[in-house]
Order: sequence, then C-alpha cells, then structure tokens
Amino acid sequence: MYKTRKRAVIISINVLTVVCFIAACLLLLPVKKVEGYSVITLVVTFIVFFAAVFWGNRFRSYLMARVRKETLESGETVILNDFIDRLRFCYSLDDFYVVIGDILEKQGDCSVLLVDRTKNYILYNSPNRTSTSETVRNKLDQHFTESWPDGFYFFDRHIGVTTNYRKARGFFMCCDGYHLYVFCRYTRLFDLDVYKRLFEEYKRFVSRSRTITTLSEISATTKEWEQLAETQQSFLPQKIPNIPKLKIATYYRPLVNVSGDYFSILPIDSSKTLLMLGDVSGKGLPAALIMGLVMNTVKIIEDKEDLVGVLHAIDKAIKGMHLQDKYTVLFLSIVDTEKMRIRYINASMSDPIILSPSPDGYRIKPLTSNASLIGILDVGDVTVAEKRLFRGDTILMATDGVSEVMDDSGVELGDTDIYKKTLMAGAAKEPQQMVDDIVDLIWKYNGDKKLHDDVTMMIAKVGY
Amino acid sequence: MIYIILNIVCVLFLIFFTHLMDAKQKTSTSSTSSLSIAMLITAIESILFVLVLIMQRTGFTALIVPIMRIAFAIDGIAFVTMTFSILDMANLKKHAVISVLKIILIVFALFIAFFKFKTIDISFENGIVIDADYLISGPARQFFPITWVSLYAGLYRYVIPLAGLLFLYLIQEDKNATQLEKYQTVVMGEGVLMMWLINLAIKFISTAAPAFSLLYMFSYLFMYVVFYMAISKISVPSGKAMFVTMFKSVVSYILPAAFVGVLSMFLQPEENIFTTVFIASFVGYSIAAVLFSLWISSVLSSSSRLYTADYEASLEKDLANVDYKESEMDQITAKMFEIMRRNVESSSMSVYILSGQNELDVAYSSNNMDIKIPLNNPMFDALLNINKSIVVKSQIVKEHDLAVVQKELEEFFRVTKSDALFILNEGHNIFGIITLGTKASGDHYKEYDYNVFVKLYSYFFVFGYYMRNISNKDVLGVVNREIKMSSQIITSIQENIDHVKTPKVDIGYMMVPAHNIGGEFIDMIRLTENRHLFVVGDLSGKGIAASMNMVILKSIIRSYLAEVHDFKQLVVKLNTFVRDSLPKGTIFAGLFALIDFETDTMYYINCGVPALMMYTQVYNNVIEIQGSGHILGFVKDLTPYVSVKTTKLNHGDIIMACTDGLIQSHSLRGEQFGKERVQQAILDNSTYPAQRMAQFTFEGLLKFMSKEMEDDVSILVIKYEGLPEEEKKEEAAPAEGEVEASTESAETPSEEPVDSQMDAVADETVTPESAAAEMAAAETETNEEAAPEAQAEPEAEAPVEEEKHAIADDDLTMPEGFEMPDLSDLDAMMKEAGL
Repeated sequence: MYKTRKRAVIISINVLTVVCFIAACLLLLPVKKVEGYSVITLVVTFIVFFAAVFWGNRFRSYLMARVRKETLESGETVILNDFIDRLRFCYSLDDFYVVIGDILEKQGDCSVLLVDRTKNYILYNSPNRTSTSETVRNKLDQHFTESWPDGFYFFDRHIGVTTNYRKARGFFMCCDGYHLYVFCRYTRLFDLDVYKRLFEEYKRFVSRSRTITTLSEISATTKEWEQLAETQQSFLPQKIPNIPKLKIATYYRPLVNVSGDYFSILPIDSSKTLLMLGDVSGKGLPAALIMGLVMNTVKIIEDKEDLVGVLHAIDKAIKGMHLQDKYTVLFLSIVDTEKMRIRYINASMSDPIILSPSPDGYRIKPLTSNASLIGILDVGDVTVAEKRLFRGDTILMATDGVSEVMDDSGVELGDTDIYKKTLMAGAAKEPQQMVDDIVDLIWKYNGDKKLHDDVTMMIAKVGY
Repeated sequence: MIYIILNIVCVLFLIFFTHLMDAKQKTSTSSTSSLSIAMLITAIESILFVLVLIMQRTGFTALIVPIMRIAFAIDGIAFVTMTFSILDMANLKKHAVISVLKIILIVFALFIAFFKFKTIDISFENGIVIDADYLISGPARQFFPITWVSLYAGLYRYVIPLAGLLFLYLIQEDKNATQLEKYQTVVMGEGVLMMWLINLAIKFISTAAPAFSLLYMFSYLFMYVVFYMAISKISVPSGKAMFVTMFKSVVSYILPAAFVGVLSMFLQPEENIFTTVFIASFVGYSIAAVLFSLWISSVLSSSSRLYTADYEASLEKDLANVDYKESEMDQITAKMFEIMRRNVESSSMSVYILSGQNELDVAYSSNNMDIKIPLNNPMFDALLNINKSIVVKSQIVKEHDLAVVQKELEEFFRVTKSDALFILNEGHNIFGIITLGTKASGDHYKEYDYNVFVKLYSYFFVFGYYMRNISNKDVLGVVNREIKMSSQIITSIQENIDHVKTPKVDIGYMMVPAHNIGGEFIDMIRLTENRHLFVVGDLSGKGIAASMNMVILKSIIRSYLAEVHDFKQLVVKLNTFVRDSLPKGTIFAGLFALIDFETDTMYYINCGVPALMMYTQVYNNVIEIQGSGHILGFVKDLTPYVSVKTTKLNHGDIIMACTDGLIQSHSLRGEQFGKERVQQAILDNSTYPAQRMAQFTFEGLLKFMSKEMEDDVSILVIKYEGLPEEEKKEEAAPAEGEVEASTESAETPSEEPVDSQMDAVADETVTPESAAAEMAAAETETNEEAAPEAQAEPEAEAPVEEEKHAIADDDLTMPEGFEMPDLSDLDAMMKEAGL
C-alpha cells in the first residue's frame, strides 16, 4: 500500500523527468552552426536539466506527502497512528494501559493482551472473551516463548505466526520480553508501513519505562536508606536530659547515613544516671539493626541499676539475631551525683577517661576494660568496677573513630600530645565547648581527607 | 510545437503555484496577500501568451498584436503588483503616496504597451520581436541607445523589483524585524536574481536560436517558486546550514547539469542534431545523469548526517540513542547538550532540579549558571494550569494564555539567560526544569522548534527524571550493595522461629514480601513444653526502616516475655513500646495467640489482623473468630481496649490468620480477593498439611491476581490434631459443654471474676458455634443439632468452664505451674531446636 504507492511515485517521477528532459532538450537544442563546440548548447542543456530535475524533485516530495496522507493518515491506519502519537507520552505501564484503552480498545475495537514473558505475568488484558480466555493464553504461551526474537509479527486465526498479513487475525510486538498482542480482525486494513514506526515507538516506550522504573527504584532505595537512618537516629536521645550536677554534651556523626555507633542517657532517679556509649562491629544494616536492638533493650529493662543484668540482656538480644560476627563494644555506667561515684562496665571500649582536676593540672584516669566483646563470646563473670568522682571531674567517652583519626603521615590522633593538650584544656571548659574543640581538632588533624569511621563521643562533667 | 507545450506547462505550473500561495496566505498570518494577485496576473499573461502562440501556429494572426499588447501591459502590471506586495511584507501603514505611485506605474505600463510599441512580431523562427522608437531622438541617442522596449523591460523587470527589495530591506532594518523576516527578504532577492539570470540566458541563447525568447515566462515561474519557498521558510538556517544547502544543490543540480551540458556541447554534431549516434549517447548519459541527480538529492535531503533546518527526525534519533544505563552523569549531560547544540543550535543548556526547600537548584549548566529558582513563582502555577510544559520566549507576546504571567516569564528568561523553558512535572509537582539558551545564530526559538519540543517532550522528561534521581547520589553504590545484603539479613532474622514440636499441632506459614523486605512477620515463641506463642503482624511503614522496627519488635517481645507474666499485659506493654520507643507514627497490626496444648485452648488477642478464620471439622464450616483488640501504637494505655478471648480447639480444627495483603489484593479487573475466597480456600484444602494449605491459599491468590503482588502477604495456618481418636471421645462432652456457655455469653462479653488484680486471661470464649450464632447463619443441620444440646444443660457445664479458666490463669500468671522461661532458657531452646 504505502510502500507500493511510494515506489510507483518514485518510478513514475524518474521516468517522467528523464523523458521530459530528453524530449525538451532534443527539441529545444538549436542547430550548431559553428565548428567545434557551442556554448549555447551548454547553456540550453544546463537550464533544461536544472529545470527538469528541480521540478522532478518538487513533484516527488509533493506526491510523497499526498501518498502518505492518503495511506497512513487516513482510514483504519489512523488508529495506529494515533496510538503511536499517544505512545510517545507514555512513561509507565499505567500510562500505556490508558492509551491501550483509549485508542486500541475504544476506537479500534481491538482486544489487547500485554504479557511480561520473563516473569510470565499478564500485565494487561482487555475485558473480553478473547484476551481473557484461558485457551488463548495457553496457546500464546506455547507459541511465543521468552526467546521469541524482538520485532513485530502477524498471527492467523490459529494464533500461529503468519507472514500473510491479509489473513492475519491480529499482530503482536515483542520487545525485551514484553509481548503486546493485539487481536483485530481487520488487521489487513492497516497499512503495512505503519508497523515499523509502531514497533520503533514501542521499543522506545519499553526502554523509556524501564529507565523510569530503574530510576524510581534507585530513588526509592535511597529514600529507604534515608528512612532507616532517620529511624536509627530516632533511637538516640533527641535532647540531653536536664540532670542536676551533671552536664552532658554529645557528638554523633555517622560516616554514611547509617551507622553502628550509639549512645544513651537514661536518668534513673534524681541522682543516678545511666550513661552508655558503644560501637557495633561492621557497617550498614546489620550494624544498624544491632544498634537499634541494644538501644531498645536497654530502654525497656526495668532494673537498670543492675548493670550486669543489662549487659546480659544486651548479649542475649544480639545473640538472638543469629547474625554472624556481630558484636558490640560498649561502655555502660551509672553516675551517682549524690554519692559521687561511677559504677561501670567497660566491654572492650577504647578507654574512656576521667579528667580529674589536681593541683598540677588535670590528671587522666582511664576506665579500663573489664568485660569482653558483647554478643559473640560468652559473657562470663563480669564485675562492676567503681571509681570515686570529684567535683569538676570530666568523663570522656568516645568511639575509636575519634582517637584513630590519622594525619597524612599515618599517626593516630590518640597518640599525639596535641590531643592530650586539647583534652586537658577542654576539661576546664563547658562540656559543649570541649566537644567543639575536639571536633575542630579532628577536622584539622584529618586534613581534607574523608573520615574513615563514624565519630561519636559523650562528655559528662560532674558536680556543676 | 515544443514551445507551445512548454508554455502550456508553464501556465499550469503558474496556476498551481498561485493556488498554493493563495492557500498558504489563508492559513498564515503574514500579509503577503497581494503576492498571489501578482502571480494570478502573471498566470493570465502566460495564458494570453499561449493563446497567441496557438494563433500563430494555426495561422489565425488577426488578433495577435492586440493580445500581445495586453499581455505586455499585464507583464508590467504584474511586476508592479509583485513589488508592492513585497513591500506589504514590512507591514507598512497604508500610504496615499504609495497608492498613487502604484497607479502611476500601472498607467505608465499601459501607456508604453499600447502606444509606444510599434510592431510586435511573434514567430517560431524569430521569437518575439518588438519594434519601438528610441526614447531620445537626436544625437544624445548615441549615449543613451534606449528604446521604449528596453526602457520597459529595464524599468519593470529590473529597477522596480530591485527598488522594492531594497526598500523592504531598509524598512526591516529600521523596524528591527526578526531574523526570519530578513532571511525571507534575502531569499526573495535570490528569486529575483534568478529571474534576471534566466532572462539573460534566454537573451543569450536567442542570439543563436531566436525562438528561445518565447520561453521568457519560465523566468517568472522560477521567481515565484522561490518566492513561495521564501514565504514557507520557518527558520533561519545558520551559516553551516546555508553551506550545506549550497553543497546539496551543487551536488544534486549543478554538477550533473554541467556534466550533461558539457558532454552535449562537445558531442553535438553540426547542422543536423538528429544523428543516431548523438541521440543514443545523449539518451544514455541523460538517463544516468537525471537518475543520479534525483537519487542524490533524495539521499541528501533525508540524511541525518548532514545538517538540516528540519531537524525533528535527527533530533529524535539522537535523543532515543541516549543510554542512561551505561554512562556516567557527566557524559549524559554532555551528550544531551551536544545533541541540542548540534540539532537545535542551542547556545547553552541548564538543568535545575528540585532541592529540599521548594527551590530549583542547578544540576547542570553548560554556561555555568549559578542561581536558585524559587518554585513559588506564580508563573509555574499558571503554566501548569493551562497545561503548558514548554514555553519559548517568542511565544510570550503572541499567546493570550501567557499574558497573565508575561512579566514573570520575561524576568525568568532574563535571569536564566535562556530562551526556552521545559517544565518537568509529575501531576502538579514540578521536580525540575530545563532551560535552553538562544540559538547560536542569536535567533529565538520559533513555532517549529516549539512543535518539535512538544512532540519530543518525553525524552526531555526522562532526561530530567534521570537528573533528579541521579544527582546528589554519591552513596548510590554503597546503598545498592547494602540493600541487596539487607534482604538476606532480614529474611534470616525473620526465620528465627521456634518451631512447634508437639504432634498435636501442624503449623504452616508463609511470609512473602511484595517487592522488597517490609514490616510483616510471623513469629512463634516456645514458652514451655506445652505452650506456644504465635504472632502474626504487620508493622506500618515500608522498606528497610520497617524491617528494622520489625526485627527490634521481635526481639523486644522475647525480652518482655522474660519480665511479664501475663498475656494481656504483654500486649499492653508492647503497645507502649511501639508508641513510645519506635519512631513516631509507627503502628502495629497483629495477632497474638497463645495455645496451650495440654488444655487444647487458644487464648488470643487480635490487634488489627483483618482475618482470623477457624474451620471446625465437626460442622465442616469456616467462620471468622475476630478477637477484640486495638492496633498497637495509637493509644497510650491499651488496657481498656483489649480482652483475651479463648477458643477450644478440637481435632481437625484449623485456624488461619493472614494480613491484609491476602484479603485486599486486587485482580486485574479490580476485584478484591476477599474473605470469602480465603474461607473457600480453607474448605477446599482442609485435608492437606498446614504448610500446603498456606501455600495453596497463596497460590490461589497469585492465580487470582495473575500479576505482580501489591502488598506483602503473611499466612499462618494452625491445624490442630488434638488427641488421638479414643482420647478425644472422652474429651468430647466437656468440649461441647463449653458451647452452651459461650452461646449465652456471646452477646454480652463477661469479664471473668477470677483475679481482679491481674487481668483475666480469657475475657470471652469464642467457639465456632457462638460465632456462627452471631452471624445468624446457623441454619445448617449440624447447628440445629447443636442448638438443643446447648440449651439442654447450660448451668451444668458452666462450672467446668470456669474451672478451666482458673487453671489457665494460673498457668500464665503464676510461675509455679509453668515457669515462664527467661531468655537464657529461650536461647537454650532455640539451640535445641537447631536454630
């Protein structure tokens, strides 16, 4: 149809141009009267040639447009053309279903079946006997498997593929596992040339909707991860409780948004406060899970003064997860501002310290480890250590993210004098001020590099 | 003869193009209306000329001279009309001077044609020969050898059109006309030039073949065709485009024409041209040259490699070839800009993407723009309301729809240094915009560009969508890897279940997430040898965050079990935990069921699980035994809202609980799966093991939907085997006794008076019969049999039941009966269970 007529136009225009040119030229050429060559001949043939070809071209494009209009843009083919036009603005399968309904079903009386062959889902079927029929489906499943090559095809009344589109009962297009079957008894009336464009557009649609889907997934994943981070942070103390004679400042900076560091401040009564700070091994979701678990387990324990009991509860909770190699180091303490003492269990945390004022500056008293890693080994017998506190003592708890920050030469911050000096100087200041000083130091010391670990610390100043 | 035919052809063409021009003017807004009149006049002239030629041929010569005079007069008039219509393009106001001048020129043409041409001779041998006096008589003639004929030709063919064009050009310069208008003028100038050239060529040829002058109409034809092309121009080509056009015409017209011309020039024999050799060779190379010429011009015009002003096809092809999967963002943006630069000649491109604060931030800019665009600009709303996603600057003044936001748009284009705007929106939410700088030629985007943009909008949308989702995603790789890992982790934690070992019960369950991991879970916790706690639940929220809460909740339930020794209190505490400790807004819909295998009783609290079904083998029917409870996480104190219900389990009874994913999933046709189908599934599969029942029910759902799942589905099936047959018979009597008690208490739930301090375990007993009675569907024979029995001895059985509850309460509240295990025991048990 379109193709045939197109060819007819081209051939007839070519013949016509040739004939016109030759006839006009031979008739017009003036008789040569001079010896040698005549410029007149050149000019005449040149002009006639130019005119003939020029008009030939004009006519061809004019007729082509006519042919196109008469075949592709009229009659039943219009339906598929409309379909193509609407398909251009489909971004998702849902859009696609609307277009199928609007054009193919409502205007074209076709019934449509869209199958995802890779998963063997029916994505869409028109609500009529043909496309909902079990037998038709089975036949399609058998005939056109996943490995069917991409392209457009016609099928006959037995739903077998056919090349004779005049006897076709419908057509189908395969692209990337998406099979679109269109049952249409008047398929022969569609111009053959439209299918190529239809398939091209369909292919573009499939790739477009894939892209959009992938992008949406990425965006959903990122959002999900952000939500997880939010959830995790909601477990941390949202604000520092106001406790008499105990001033606390904290710093929490996860490396990626999800982290395994945690801390907690839980007032038990007017003088006792449970301070906890810990670090779960590893990164990502498992660490975050354990972190949430530890925080919530501690929160619901009724007798929080029983530090050993708390430790055991945490241990059990972690072990109950059955995650491999997941453990936590943790510092668990109860600061009693009335009796001025600290009871603590240090489960393998890099040493927290007490900075105690003394006549010759501040003295550093480490709160050494007295328990093993939690959640992986047997906890065994744990005894709660106890230390006296004095007015003006500063307790510093920090994850190894603080002391293990490296400078360019690979020296860790914890080993440097400047760190100790900052601590000493900070001990006299407000806790928040001290935190800020240390954080500044970390950034300065680390230079412009990216940090390698989460940084969490808590500073509590007793007696003010 | 050939001259007549060619002239007839010329007439037809002229008429045809007059028609085209006329049609064009009806649709276009440009004021070139009189151009078609000029063409019409020319067409009439050519008709007259053909008439004259035919008269000459047929020997009817009497009227030749008067008609030719008319034709010549018309010739002049046509040129005058044409020139003034060209002037009209400058949109001049009607001026008396112009009209007068026009009339004078027309009258002058008439005057010369009728009174100054002395003889007019038309013949096929000598062409057109006009004799006229010299303009100046006297010696000055030697310096000005001008006849009236040459004056006529010079004035009307050369001077007037040239003056008109120059005048138009000056006016356009003065009025600051658009590039396109200027370009059209230039093209028209080319048309006039072409007419001159053809005329000169004809004149030149007529020195050898005088008859050629009979073809002079063709020069007009070509001129008008070029005019038509000029008016149809929709865009100004760049220098490159002009070069390409020139290249095309050289290759497809000039070269072949020159080839044929030169060959003919040398091959043409003297005197008689109709020699066989010459004709054969002429036909041969002519065919080759014509076909080549036609072919090459069609190839060149459809080739996307060569630049074309009609860039739609090549732009679409380029855009469709952008592969978002394989390239980095920098490459994609660079490619996109390159596509726009090459095809549309955009001088710059910027992409702005929505950032947090209702502002659009630069995500890409080829000209280093660094501004923020607030979304509260009223123009965005206005544009969305009229459903306009693309605006080009040249439209602002033309389109009425845009009038309301004209100022804002102009300001916007000024600030962003752009000329076209694409709004990328999903519904009414704008997530980004793309702006394009003016064309490299400095020209604005036109109607044509706009139409192409509209047609290809989807590609820009995808690009913007890509930019939105990929920009600021530095942790993308980490996130992807983690997410893949996390589903495994969560699934493995979900599978931490104490499987029931007693032969009295057969448990089957399924947890199928719809897309990714979520907040649904089924848990079984062994309390003692004879007691098991079952939890089926759905935590609100989606994705990993919900899973994390789920994992925590699962662990917390176990932690609470170490402290709390009361079933109801456990749920109350969990409510407080969900409300206070989990992130704000988290709720939990779940079923808590505790089965005592020794007393064959199930205690349950249903906190919002949509379907809890019970199949009774005796009556072979399925009923709903909705417990009473409240979704966790809403109220501060759940105590008043929950009550524990109990139901007696007999051999063959089946309990099925499922989350809303099963009940509320829709089929392709929008139908809900619904409770009836679940009940039917239980009935149909009641003979299979529990695991198969859960599986079949789920498969039934998949078949029903025959598409991707919408929601997570969790199904728990508890198939109660009870006691061996003989023992069961003994138990039968008390079991039925319970029936009567409950039928009475069904309407008014009775609080158990056992322990006022601790909540009673069973606030209400539910049996299949009581539920059935409520449902008023008890007309089956079995029920009728049960009913009289139930009425027979209600009092007698009451104590039995009470006693049972007392035992039950003891079991739960007092550690001496069955010691509630703490977590260390639980751990040991889990190890036992091989978990």
